[in-house]
Amino acid sequence: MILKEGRIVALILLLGSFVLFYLYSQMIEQGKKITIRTLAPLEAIPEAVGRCAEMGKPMFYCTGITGSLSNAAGAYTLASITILGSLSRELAKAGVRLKLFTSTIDAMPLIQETIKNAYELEGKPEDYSEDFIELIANQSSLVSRYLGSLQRENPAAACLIGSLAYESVVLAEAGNTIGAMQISGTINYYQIPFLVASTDYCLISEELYAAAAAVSGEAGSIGPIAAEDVIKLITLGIMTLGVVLAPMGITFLVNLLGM
Amino acid sequence: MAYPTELWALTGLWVGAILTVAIYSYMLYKENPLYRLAEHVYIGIAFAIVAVVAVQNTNRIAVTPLLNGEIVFIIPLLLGLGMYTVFIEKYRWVSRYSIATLVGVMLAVVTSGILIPNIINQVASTITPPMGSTMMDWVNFFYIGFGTICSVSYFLFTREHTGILAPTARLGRLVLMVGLGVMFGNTVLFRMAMLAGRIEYLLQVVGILPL
Repeated sequence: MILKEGRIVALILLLGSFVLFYLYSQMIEQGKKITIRTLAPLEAIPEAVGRCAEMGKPMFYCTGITGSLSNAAGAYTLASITILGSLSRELAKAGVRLKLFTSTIDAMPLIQETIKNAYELEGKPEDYSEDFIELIANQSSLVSRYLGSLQRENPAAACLIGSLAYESVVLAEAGNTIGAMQISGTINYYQIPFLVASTDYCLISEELYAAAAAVSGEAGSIGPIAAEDVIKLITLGIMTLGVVLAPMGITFLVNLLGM
Repeated sequence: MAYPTELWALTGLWVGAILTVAIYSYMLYKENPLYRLAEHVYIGIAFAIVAVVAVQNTNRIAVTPLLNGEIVFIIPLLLGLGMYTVFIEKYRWVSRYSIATLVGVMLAVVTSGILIPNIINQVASTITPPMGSTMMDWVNFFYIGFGTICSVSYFLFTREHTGILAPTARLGRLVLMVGLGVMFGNTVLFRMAMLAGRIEYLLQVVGILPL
């Protein structure tokens, strides 16, 4: 048999996802209006930029510690870079200096181009500087650099968005001690509790992808989020039915999922 | 392990201890000269290690096989070299091909490993009746079942949390916060163990504890 038992449902889900992603992207391209719901951390970005402008202080941004774009956490970093693009435009508009910390070496060209493009789009290419970005080789040295810079430059706001690991609580708590307004977001669910507890706004898990899609406004980004919602609704239907039927001893849905 | 007597081993031990104290001085004295010294030493050493490891890996994984006649390894080498075109404004666009390939490979690898364990198995586990038949087993089953349903409804993004979604999303957020609280507690315990590890190291260096 070509199809291996235990993987049939996965194959159907995979193919179904592709079809839905494509259909929704096409629908949006043809003018269908699909919007991402209000996400408080995104709404807070102009406030954070305004705070920096009023206080005449820089904004810090950390994309986290992913070693490479080629592993699973690379997706978080990419979502973070998309948000960075929109944020950089706000910063360029308000004349606020950005200081970005990253240890994702292969994302450097992407980060540089994203910020540079944002400044060009705002008609201020001369304000862009390569010094905005600090590439630090690994996690612990990134932490020490970030903490030192935090005390030296005293930013008015900081964004910790991307692939964050153990450093999340260290960076966020240090930001708290200097009174910076902080916006965070990660998919790494071990770190979410710390970010929720120690930052002002937090993009919890998949909200990070939704936020990136919302700021990009591109059909190719919003389409998959809309398609995912359809898959989630189907999943919700299956789970509700399964939970209701289980006490009656009816478990055909469990068997179906095992196909 | 016996306390070292050789000069190089003793130096390594004490450098580690001094740098540990220097980094921890941040908690008491904020950014200070000792911390700044440790910070810069750390950044320099980290870059040196990453550079050496990168060269060794490139040599081991791609250059050596290529020199042994495996011509296919020219592809990752060219893609890697493409990254360096960011330094030449005229050919900067070449780096986009390298990045696009990296991202494409990442997405393919991630997708293949997510569907069954992270979605299908999770849904199946949520609706599988409990093995035991005590009251508590069923309470847990319904808590997990309805908690998961409400939490998933919180992560619907193309609809505002109004109407029928308002109560489920709100309950979902509460369930999420309970879960996050549990994880917070667990991780704090783990961090305490890490701190205890560093204190143990310092006590070993000054000879209070045996190495």
